Amino acid sequence: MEVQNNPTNSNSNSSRAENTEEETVVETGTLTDEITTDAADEHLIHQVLGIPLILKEILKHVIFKDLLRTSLVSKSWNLFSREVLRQRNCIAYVLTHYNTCGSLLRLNKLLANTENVPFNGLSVCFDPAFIAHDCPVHENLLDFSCHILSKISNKFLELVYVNGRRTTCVAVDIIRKILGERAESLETLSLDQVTANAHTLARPILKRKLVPALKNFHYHPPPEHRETREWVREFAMTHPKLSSFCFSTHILKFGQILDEKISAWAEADKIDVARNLMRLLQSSKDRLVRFDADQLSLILMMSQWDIPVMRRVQTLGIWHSAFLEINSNLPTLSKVNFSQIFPNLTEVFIFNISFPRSTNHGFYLNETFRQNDTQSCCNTVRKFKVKGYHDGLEHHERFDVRQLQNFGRIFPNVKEFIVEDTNQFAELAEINYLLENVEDYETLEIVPVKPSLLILPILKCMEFTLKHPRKRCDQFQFPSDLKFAFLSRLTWHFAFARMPELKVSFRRETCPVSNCFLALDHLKEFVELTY
Amino acid sequence: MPVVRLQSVDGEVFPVDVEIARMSFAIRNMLDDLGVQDNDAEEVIPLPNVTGPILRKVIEWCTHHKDDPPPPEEDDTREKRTDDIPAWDQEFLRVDQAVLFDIILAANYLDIKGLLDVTCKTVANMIKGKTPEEIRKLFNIKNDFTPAEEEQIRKENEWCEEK
Repeated sequence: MEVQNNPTNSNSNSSRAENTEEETVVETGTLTDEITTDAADEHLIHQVLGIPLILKEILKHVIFKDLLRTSLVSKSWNLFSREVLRQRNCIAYVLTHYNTCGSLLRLNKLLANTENVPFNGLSVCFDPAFIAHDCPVHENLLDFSCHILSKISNKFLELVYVNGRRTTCVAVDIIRKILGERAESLETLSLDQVTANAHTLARPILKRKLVPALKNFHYHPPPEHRETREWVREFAMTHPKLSSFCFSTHILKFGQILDEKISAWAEADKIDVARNLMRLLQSSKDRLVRFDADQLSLILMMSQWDIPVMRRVQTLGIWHSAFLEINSNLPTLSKVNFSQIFPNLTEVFIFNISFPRSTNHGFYLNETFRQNDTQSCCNTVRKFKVKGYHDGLEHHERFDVRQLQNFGRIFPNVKEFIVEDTNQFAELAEINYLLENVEDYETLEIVPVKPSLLILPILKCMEFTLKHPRKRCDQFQFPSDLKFAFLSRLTWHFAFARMPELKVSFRRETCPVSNCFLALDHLKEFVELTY
Repeated sequence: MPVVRLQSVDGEVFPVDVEIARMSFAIRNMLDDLGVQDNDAEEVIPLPNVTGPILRKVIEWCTHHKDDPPPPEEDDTREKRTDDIPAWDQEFLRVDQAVLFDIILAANYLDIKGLLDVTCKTVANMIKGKTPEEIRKLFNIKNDFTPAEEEQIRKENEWCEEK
C-alpha cells in the first residue's frame, strides 16, 4: 500500500502515532497503562469513555468480579456495568442461615433505594434446618416482593431445597407470586431438589403453557420423590422450546454410587422418565444445543429411540465416576457410542465424582485402570471441562488427575482443557501425571474453587516462611490446611506466570533434595525471589 | 487492484485498496451511497474525524487483517475473552494510552468491528484486577457518587452471583 503525504499538513495535530516504516511501534511506544497527565489526552480519554457504545463495549470484556468494581467508578460506569451484569446472568443469591423470607425482606428493602439493579434473576435456597422459625405474619406479601418484582426482570429463577425437604416458609408464597407475575419473562428455570411444592410452585408456568421465552430448564428432582417425575411429564406436555436442558437425579456423593442408588429406580420409572425427556428434547427441536444428564443409562435408553434432536447437541454435560469405569456393569463414558448418538458434539463438561482424599486411591494407577478398554472415542470434541464435586461444606471430593489418560482416549482431539477443583494438584505425582498428559492441549486452565494465588491478580508482594519437614521431601505430607494455602510446584508456575510483577520473599531452611516441594529455583524466571 | 483515496482531517491522503477500505462499514456505506465504482481511483473520501497518523495506523491494522474470517455472532450473556489478542495486535497496540484511545475513536467512527473489539479488549485488560480508585486514577475519572450511593452499590454487590 502506498502512503501519500500532503506537505501542507506536515504539522499534523498528533505526532503520537508517527511511526515510519523503519521505525517500529515497539521501539517508540510506551506501556499502555502509564498514566498521562496531558490535558488534551485527558480530554480525549473522557471523550472516548463518554461514548456509551464504546464504554459498554469495553465493559463487555471485563470479568464478573471486575464489573462489580467498575460499578463503583462513577455514575456512568455504574449504569453500563450494571447493564452488562444483567446481560451476564447476574442473580441475587438468597441463601441464609436464618430464614429465607427474612432475606427476601432485606433484599426488597435494599432495592427500594435503587433504580439500576445488577440482577436479572433470583436464586433462592430453602433450608429446613434453618427455617424452623415462625414466619413473620405479614398481611401483604408486597412487603417482601414489591421492589423485587418491579426492579428485577427475573429472567432467571433458581430454587434449591436443601435435603429435598418441604418447607412452609412464607418465602414459598413469595416465589409463587413472583412466578405468577413474571412467568412470561422467565428464560431460565432451575429446580433443585424441589419436592412436592414443585407442582404448586410451577402451576403458574404450566397454566401459561410454559411461556415462549423459556430457554433453559434445569431440573434436579430428588430420586426418592416419585411425584416430582409427574411434574416433568406435565411440563413436557407444554412443548417447551429449550436451548439447554439439564436433568440430574442428584447423585452427589461417592457413597451414593457405592450404594448403587443410581440404579435404584424401577425399570418402568426409568422408561417413564426417559420418554418425558425425549418429549422435551423433541419439542425443543433445533434450538437445543446443550444437554446435561447424570444417568448414562437414560441417555443410552433414549438413543435407542432415535431422537434426531440429540444428534444436534453440541455441548454435553454428564456426571462421571472413575469408580464406575472399572468396578461396575453400569454404562460408562468409555462405552458410549458418541459418533452415533452425539455426532456434532464439540464441548464436554464432566461433573466428576471421585474419591474422598482419605480413600486409598492407589488403585487408580493399577493396570486395570490404565489399560481400560475404551470401546469408542469421540473425535469431534475440542473443549473439555472437568469440575470436581464441591458442596461448599465438608465434602471436597476431588478430580483425580490420573483419570486424564482415560479421558484422553475417549476424547483424543481436545485442545482446550479446563479443570475446576478444590484440589490444586498438591502432590508431585499428580503434577507429573498432568504434565505428561497435557502436552497436546493448546489451552490449559486451572480454576481453583478455594481462594488461592491463582485468583489474586493484583497481588504485588508476598512473604513466606517455610519450615522444612526434616525428612525426605518426597514423603512429606502437607497438613490439610496447607494443601489449599500452599500451592504445588505446577500451580506456583501458573500463578506466577500470570503475576509477572510479583515480588516474593522466602525464609526457608535449606533442602538438599533437588525436586523438593520447597525447592523454588525453577520459579526464578517468573518472579524475583529473595531468600 | 482498485484503490480509493482516504483523506484525513489534516489533509493527508492515503490511497487504499478498495477491498481494505470496505472493512470499514462507514466507508463501505459512503462508497455505496456515492456510487463509486471499483476503478474510480480519483474519488477522495474525506474523513473529518480522523487525523493522518491515526488513519495510517488504522490502515495498517486493516491491511494486516484483510483476510480474516468474519467475526462470530456475539453472545452478550457470556464474558468475552481478553486473553486471545493475537501477538501482532498486541505489538501493534503497544502505544501511548492517548493513541490507543484515538484508535478506538477512529474504529468506532469508521465502524471497524474487529479493530474496535481488539482495542476495547486492550482497555479491559488495563482495568483487570484494579480497584475503583485505581481505575479512576488511570483514566482521570471523577467520583461523582455520594457516600450513601456508594454504600448502596456495595450492599447490592454483596448479593451478586454469576450464573
